[in-house]
Amino acid sequence: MNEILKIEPYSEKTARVRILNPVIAAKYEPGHFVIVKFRTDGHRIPFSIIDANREEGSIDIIIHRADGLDEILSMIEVGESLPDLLGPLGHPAVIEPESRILFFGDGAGVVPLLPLIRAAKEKGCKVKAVLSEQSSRTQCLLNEIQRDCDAVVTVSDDNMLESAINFVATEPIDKVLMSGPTLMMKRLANETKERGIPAECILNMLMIDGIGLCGICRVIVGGERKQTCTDGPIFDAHQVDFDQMFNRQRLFV
Amino acid sequence: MNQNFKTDRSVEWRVELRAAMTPKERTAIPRVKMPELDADYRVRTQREVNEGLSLEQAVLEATRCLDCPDPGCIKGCPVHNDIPGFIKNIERREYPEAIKVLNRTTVLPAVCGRVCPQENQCEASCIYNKMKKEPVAIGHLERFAADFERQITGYVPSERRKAAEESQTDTPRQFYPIKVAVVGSGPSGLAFAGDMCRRGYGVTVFEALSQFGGVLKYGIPEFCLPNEIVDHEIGKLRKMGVEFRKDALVGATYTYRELFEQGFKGIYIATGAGKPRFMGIPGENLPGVMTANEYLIRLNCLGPSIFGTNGVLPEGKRVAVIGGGNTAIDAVRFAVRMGAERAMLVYRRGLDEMPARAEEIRHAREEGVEFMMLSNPVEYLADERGYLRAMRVQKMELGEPDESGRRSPRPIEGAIEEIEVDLVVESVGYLPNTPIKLEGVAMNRKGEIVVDETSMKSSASAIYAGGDIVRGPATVILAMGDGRRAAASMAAAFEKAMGEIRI
Repeated sequence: MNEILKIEPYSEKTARVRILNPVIAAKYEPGHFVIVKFRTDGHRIPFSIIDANREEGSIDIIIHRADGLDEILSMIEVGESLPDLLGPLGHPAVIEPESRILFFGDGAGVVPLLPLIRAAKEKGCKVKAVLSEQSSRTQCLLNEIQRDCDAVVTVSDDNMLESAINFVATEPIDKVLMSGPTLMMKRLANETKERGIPAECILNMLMIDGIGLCGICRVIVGGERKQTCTDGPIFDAHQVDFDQMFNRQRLFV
Repeated sequence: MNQNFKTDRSVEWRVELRAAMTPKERTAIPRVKMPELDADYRVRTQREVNEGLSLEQAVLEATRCLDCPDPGCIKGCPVHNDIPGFIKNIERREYPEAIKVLNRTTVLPAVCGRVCPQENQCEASCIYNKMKKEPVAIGHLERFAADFERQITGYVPSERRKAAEESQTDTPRQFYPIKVAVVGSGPSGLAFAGDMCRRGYGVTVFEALSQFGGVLKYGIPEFCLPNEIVDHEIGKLRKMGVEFRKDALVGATYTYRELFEQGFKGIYIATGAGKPRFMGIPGENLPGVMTANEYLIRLNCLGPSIFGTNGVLPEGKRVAVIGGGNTAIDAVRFAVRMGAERAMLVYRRGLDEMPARAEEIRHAREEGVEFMMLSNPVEYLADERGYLRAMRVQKMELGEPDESGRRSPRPIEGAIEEIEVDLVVESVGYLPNTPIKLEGVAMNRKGEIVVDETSMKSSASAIYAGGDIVRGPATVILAMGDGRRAAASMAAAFEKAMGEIRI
């Protein structure tokens, strides 16, 4: 159990890691995440499940270059078993078949979009994606996204929001799904709200237990206290109090 | 069932032991004082504060016990430990026998000897109270017996070691082809697992987190209950044959239905009450405000490094812990040990109304905790950067007793104080860890499982529940008592069914 079957490097700092866990693989639905411990005395880190292979009994996660996560890639090897893998956690995404969905991803936020983009494609949705080209960090994930999208637009950080707004303003869209820095999501949430387009955000919060005990991933959604681990990680972007979230997140950067 | 566990008071050695000293001589002995680390020293370490009785102290304290014909202490114990039975074995210096007696009724003697509120239970029912004397230190002696057993292996030669090891393993055997599942590895789940295993059933314990022990590991700090002790007790259960599975969140990793499909014939749900309550006041999401769970899990299990570069480590900080229970006291004493500049305990009632154990309160005082009683935070204030800077505290006074019998606090109009703080830890109660995707089981509005109080059976057949998920936040020993009752009634139900099949 929890044996690392494959490490597929995407770039120097990003890799897709395949882990043996038939129990989680059998239960996986797009939007689920797992809590991973790479060392017995290490931290508990949440990762989106990117894909699952039921026959092989494996799940994939992407370890993407981000603060504190770089070193993990140098710590793990194919064949070793991870001490802890808990899941599947969180509520799966709700994707209306044959709907028109626009995905917005920025930086490490692109990673949790991958399984949802594929799920949307499989459900016959019209799928478009706007990705920011934050240095070359997301470049390595681009192929995968292009495969499942009807159109992908990559933009530089500076005009990310403008492009996004353009899309929102001109294309007929049923839903926007976003993942990225809090301030980007806040602005996109406002733009979509003004235009009456439903929007959901995938929150990436620090977690400790992942089962609702510590309260560290709490966010205010629609005026109520919610926990990203047990109530999320996908929330109605129009209801999330991004200011409060941004303020709290600074503590952990 | 409990009667079977009681040892015989009329055996020869015990009669002789009673005759060796008069009750008058016994009652003249003063109650033992638990040796403890000096406050100045202990605030700089994680070491356990109570050091444990020495051999001679334990034997002398055991001598005080009158071995009453109708002992009240056993009735005062939620798991009905045979208290005189184990204490008299300490008096005659047969320590492995003492632990054997305890092992019949409890799977966690080293834990209960440390964290039980004996002053409200066994010791409150001790005959000494009627004589206006301090009761026999039952908790200290239970701890002594358990610690002796744990420490003896390895350096005591021959027969005694063998006896001690035997008492540890305690006849592991599964003679019924029936296996049961336990959800949660806290004290209630462990007590249930131990009893069912002893009765001959196959037992598997499912734990969502990576360490076994539940609140004993994640909640109670090292200086009150060292992790090594919890691990030892769990090791004993493993030796008996109990199987443990970590990273298994029942409801998500396995559904309840799947457990039955996997062949488990009964499920005991002991998920506890560990979801934090919040004060629900403005500013509680500021950086610098956290729950006692976050704070204690981080310090107990993860080490301080995860606190991040902007550091909410208590070192050099002014820390306020809100609440008056044992968890609040644990948190504030932890802050002292982490080098807090000020460690304040902020409680809306008075010292007398605090639910925390008396010993914990005394320890906290000795360690320099500031007790800010009759104070209730109403708002947390941010500095210009958006970080916690201060709290506004409403001063309270005590009014009439409420339904809990405690005098209820009410605000003194206009008496609001602003106190500068760097870190606030809220410890204001817990909500149930309501089982995930559990269907067909009646729950109350709070999300606690409704059970029959004697059998601990839920509204669904073959599902039993106990501990905090049934009674709300309570004590380790009450949770264990539930586990034992559930085991007794589940086993009785199986045995009845098996009897019917034979006919």
